Amino acid sequence: MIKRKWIMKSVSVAMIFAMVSSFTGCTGGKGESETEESMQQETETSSEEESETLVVSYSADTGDLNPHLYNSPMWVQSLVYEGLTRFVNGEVVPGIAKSWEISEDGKTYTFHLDENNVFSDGTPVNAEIVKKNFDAVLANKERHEWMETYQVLDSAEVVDEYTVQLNLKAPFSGLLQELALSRPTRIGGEAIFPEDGATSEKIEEPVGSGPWKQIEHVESQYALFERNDNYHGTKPSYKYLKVMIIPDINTAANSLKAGEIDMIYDIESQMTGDVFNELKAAGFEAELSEPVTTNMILVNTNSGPTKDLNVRLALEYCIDKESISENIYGGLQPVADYLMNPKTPYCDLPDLPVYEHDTEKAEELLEEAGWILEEGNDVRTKDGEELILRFLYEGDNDSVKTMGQVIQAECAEVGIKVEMVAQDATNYGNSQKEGLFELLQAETWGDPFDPHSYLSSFRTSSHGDYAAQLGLENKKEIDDTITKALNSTDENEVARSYEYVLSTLTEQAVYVPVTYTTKAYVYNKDVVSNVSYNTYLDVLYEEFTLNK
Amino acid sequence: MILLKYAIKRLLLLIPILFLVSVVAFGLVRMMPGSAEMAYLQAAGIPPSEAALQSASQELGLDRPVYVQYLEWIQKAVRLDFGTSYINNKEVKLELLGAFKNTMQLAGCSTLIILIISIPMGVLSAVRVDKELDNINRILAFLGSSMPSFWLGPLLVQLFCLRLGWLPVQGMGDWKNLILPSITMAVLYIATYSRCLRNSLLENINKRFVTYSRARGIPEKKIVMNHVLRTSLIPAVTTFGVNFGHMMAGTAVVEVLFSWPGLGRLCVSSVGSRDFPMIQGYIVVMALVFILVNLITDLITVALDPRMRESL
Repeated sequence: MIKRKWIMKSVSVAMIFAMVSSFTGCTGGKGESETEESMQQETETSSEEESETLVVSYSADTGDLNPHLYNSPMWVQSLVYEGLTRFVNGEVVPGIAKSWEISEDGKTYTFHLDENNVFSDGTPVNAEIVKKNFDAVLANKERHEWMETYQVLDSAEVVDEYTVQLNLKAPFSGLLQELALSRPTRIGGEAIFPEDGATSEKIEEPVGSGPWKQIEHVESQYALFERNDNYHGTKPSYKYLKVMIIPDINTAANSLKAGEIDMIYDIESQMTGDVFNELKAAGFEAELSEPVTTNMILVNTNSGPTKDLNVRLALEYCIDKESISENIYGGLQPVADYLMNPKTPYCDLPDLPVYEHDTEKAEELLEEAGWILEEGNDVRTKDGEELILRFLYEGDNDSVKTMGQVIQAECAEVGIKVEMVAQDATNYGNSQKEGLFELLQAETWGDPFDPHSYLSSFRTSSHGDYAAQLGLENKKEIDDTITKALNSTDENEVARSYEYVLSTLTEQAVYVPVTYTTKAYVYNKDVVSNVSYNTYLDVLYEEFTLNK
Repeated sequence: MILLKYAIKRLLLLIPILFLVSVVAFGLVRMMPGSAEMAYLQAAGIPPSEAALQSASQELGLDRPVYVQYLEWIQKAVRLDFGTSYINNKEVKLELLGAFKNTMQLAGCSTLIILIISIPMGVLSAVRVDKELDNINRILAFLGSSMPSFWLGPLLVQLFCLRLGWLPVQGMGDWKNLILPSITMAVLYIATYSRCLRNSLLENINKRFVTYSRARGIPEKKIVMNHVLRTSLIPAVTTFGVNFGHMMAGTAVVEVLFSWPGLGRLCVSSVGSRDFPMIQGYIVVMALVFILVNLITDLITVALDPRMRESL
């Protein structure tokens, strides 16, 4: 009998341990003594809420919503906060500022605010609070100096209650476009500021004047936003937007099929062609945005055999973009002819050369460069040295790895040996900076960063672009021209400068544009309509229609 | 009394072990390729210029000698203050605690499923050795132990969520959310423990004390349940002690599959982003879990086998 007790005791100890641990917290923080009545009420409210809620998925937590820092996804910051300007359908449009004037020397920007605009907590959006936001960002300026704006912005001044002035040390042609970025110059209400006024560490409460306000956030699970009835633009026609945190795209797809979510808006480009086509076949509306960024191979002009222009040109001809677009990206990314998509401001340059796939031409160029394919060899040689190029990529990016492997095979056909070098994110960043590659997969930055912010980065030593361009004879001229364009107030001069930069880089074959990336959005068409794409940092959820 | 003394002795041993773990955790994390400054800047979306790297290094305190960094960290860590995350600026202790609670829910529910299924499966297989039931259990065990969770999970989702619509695909908060991830995690262990228990039972079933019990006329069922099972549980309990830590540490795949915000997911993302304080905190917490679970299993083993008490 005692022995039996022992067994029962030990087994039950284990079971109690398991039960206690498994059910602790299952109540989700709600009181345990909820009456039947209140539970019923809650069910009624929740079904009402459900019919007014658009449920979307996102792969990472929505963060602390600090408008002046980088811990939240950009598109989530755009839900809650507005900037002085906004970037919609390829154009700068009014945000908090209804209009603006630029001084002749391009150093003073005067913004007139909408007098009827208030934050979600009812406090006014006036010049004083705009200045307070700019002051807080400027106090932490060194963190934002990667943006041209923060290299030239000197101060913000209150002119009158609804007029604010930005004073610049030097003119910057992309200022209005950069002010539309979702950070760090989004304007938060008084409630965001901690006692010391410094938002560089934390904010008190996420209060903005955007179309939504956050009402609940359960870390790594979901964030719930409610329509901001004080919003001065087009108010959302439905009441709630729920963002479910689902790290895996296959899980998100299953969740959509099971009706748990209404839409996958694939900001992080996780969706594969297979998942996209499977959901389409299952009856969901599956759409692709216009080109967002350019997926390209950056060729190092300052290292190894790619110092030679003919080798770089050979690479332009030997890579079969059609095949990569079709076979790797399942048609989700169309072929890219240019480094900058022609729809980007100042980038519609039809006279730039386009390199079509032509392996014979590639072989000719390699012969010309002195790289000879001797009989019995697979790899070309020159003065006893083999033609070997390092293809650097981030190890956890499967589609880039596959693209690298296809490029490896295509290069092998013309006698170039490509070695794949996989690195984790941090080492990859470092190798880019140091220029430890001949080929590197990279992307342009997309709207509204392109072309100003992206081209501006060509001049900074921390970027792979800078390292790769260092071998060009006219690198200094390129950098100076970009600076001239950024500091100009003359549209024509900006256009001419960018044309010079882009045509030089194309002729020098520094970039092999491969595909234009797109963003996929898949949704249940019985539930959501009027879905569109704007930019990956500003999704216009307020314009979607919910038909639950 | 002996047990209490033993437990206290083991708990005291925790101090030097945890000290060693802290040194190893701190050292290993700093030996990882890739710099924390770079990861910090990448996470913040700041291009890593020389100046930015330097200011990040100062901000994170990484510009000081490693031993100074260690001493500062350990002084706080003994007060359970593991610092703040480089990536989201939140307190590591709270982040780990939240994720730990979630992973414990999963691990606890899986343990429950394992106990409920593997003990009867093992006993029935041993009692009907090489008969139909044993063979079925054997096939199930083979299948279970050869199904990785990243394959089994989606299969279960297909059946129970998409075809039958009985259970949710992902998320947490409701008891229904617990079922599929727990089963996915439990299947491998059910296979292992049921076979382990069966073999152990078969070893013991022909021992002399069983023959004597039979001679005393005790019914077979009583012999198996009261005498043989108790002795045979020891290897399974020991294996479980080791595996519980593994189960806690190896939840990443299941947690990603079912969007469960637990320790595994947190650890994988922290390693990817070189979030030193989070990784260090995680290693210390996991070491503590391993040690405590092993202590508990040792105590259960002693309780199950009186002979062990004499050796203490």
